[in-house]
Amino acid sequence: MDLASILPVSLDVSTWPPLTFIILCVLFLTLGVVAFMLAPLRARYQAQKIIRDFDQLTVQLTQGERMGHFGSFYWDTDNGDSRWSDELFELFGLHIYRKAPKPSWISTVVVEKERANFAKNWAYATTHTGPFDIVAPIVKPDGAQRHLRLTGHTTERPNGSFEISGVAHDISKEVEVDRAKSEFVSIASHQLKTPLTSIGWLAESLVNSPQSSTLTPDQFKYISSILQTSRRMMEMVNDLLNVSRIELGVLVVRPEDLDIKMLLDSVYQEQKKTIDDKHQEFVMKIEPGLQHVHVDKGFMRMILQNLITNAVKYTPPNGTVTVDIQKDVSMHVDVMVIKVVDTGIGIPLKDQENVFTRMYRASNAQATVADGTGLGLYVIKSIVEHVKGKISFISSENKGTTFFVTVPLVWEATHTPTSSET
Amino acid sequence: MIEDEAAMLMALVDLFTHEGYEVSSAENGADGLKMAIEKHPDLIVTDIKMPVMDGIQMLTELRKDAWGKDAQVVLLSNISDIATIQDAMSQGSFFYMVKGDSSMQDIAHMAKVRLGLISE
Repeated sequence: MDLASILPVSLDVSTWPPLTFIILCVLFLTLGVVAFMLAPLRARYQAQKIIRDFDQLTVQLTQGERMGHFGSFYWDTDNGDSRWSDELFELFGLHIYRKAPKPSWISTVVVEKERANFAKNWAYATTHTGPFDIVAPIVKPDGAQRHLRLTGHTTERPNGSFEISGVAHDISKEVEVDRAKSEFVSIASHQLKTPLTSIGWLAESLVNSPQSSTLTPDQFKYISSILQTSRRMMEMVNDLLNVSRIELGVLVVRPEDLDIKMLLDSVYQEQKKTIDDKHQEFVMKIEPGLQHVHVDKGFMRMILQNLITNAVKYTPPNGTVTVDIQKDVSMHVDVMVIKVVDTGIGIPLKDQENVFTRMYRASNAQATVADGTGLGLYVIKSIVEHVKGKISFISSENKGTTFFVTVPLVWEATHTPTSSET
Repeated sequence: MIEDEAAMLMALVDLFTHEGYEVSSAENGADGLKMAIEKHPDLIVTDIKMPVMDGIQMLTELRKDAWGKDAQVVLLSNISDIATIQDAMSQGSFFYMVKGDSSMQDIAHMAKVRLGLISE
């Protein structure tokens, strides 16, 4: 059976009646025209769907911005294009129909006290390729003060123009919480340390005054004990306050130029009597040329004091404590490497993993020396890591311990805004 | 001597009296400022946190006085006040000591240094 026998018409077109041929041509032509006309309609439908989807997305993003209290911005310094989302206008207290301001405008609404510093940092962020994350403490037109966090990215084009985009987020509540935490620690510090200082000073006055010769031996002994106990109590309060600052995230680093040798000498002087009484050898080595560093004096003193006090405390009579401070410029940041080596009781292997744990004291430490909070190493580890340093140790029971602390030669300042520290 | 904590004020007054100084005392910054301007002491030792007028405000007002602008002042602080002290550096030179870290002997030594009786 072949095709010719199945079809109702012959495949030879020349045998078709002319009318049939014409009708078929018109039919195909009509189908072609219809298809041609439907194509743009289809394309239009697809385009409209894309626009509807985009509008829906824009609405969702805008709602998201409103609920999250953040606004987005985009600047192109090549053509002056400046685009802000509605929420960003509201964050700055501006009418949403005004023209979106240029990047430099933001500096003009920063609180006066912080304006110069912000303007400098903002100008840098918007003229150098890279991410930025800056807090702008602003004053809105109605006088309300808010803290806005500006996070984004700047890209420099080959022609020297910049494309800046990012989001602004109102972090005023978080700033207020941090301020409250810092205020709490400040008040607790003052309220706890004031009476302790009074006790210490009065006991010291009695012990050191000319009238002390009129005290009976027992009275002198008790007052000396009151003095020592108050000093120990003050150390514990300082440790607890530092732990509070660390755990509340309100540790403030204020670096200054410092002579590390003078600081080390000062810490040594505090331990000198104990060292002499125990006939220990105390060796200090500082790399020549490494004398001046830019660090927080209080924290640096705390690190040296803690490590040296422990070394002296847990080293038996006639032992040796060595403090070695060297510079290392081989890393991407110049650092100071502090080694405190003792020939003391060492840390048992089973205790070593917990040495930096809060309130932990090694079993042999508790047996050797009664007093100690177990907070010191936790505090200094937190401080060292806060300033982007490292701390570690090696130890062998009854042979000694070496602590290694690596910190930058120049520390960055960190500051939690407080309503008042007076 | 300007200090609102009675026990500390007593210890400080006794210390400096035994050291042979003539000591005047006040319990808040306002009284202390008035006393300082009247008596022109060789050294003013003041707490920071005090009622009525704190130590920084007292120092600010003192520096406006013709005599007070050059007066020797020592601020006694707690460690948490370091930020305030650094911010107050604009009020002219002064010395500060951290109360909790300083013994009475440290304070007596500091006074002699500030008064030029001994070198640092």
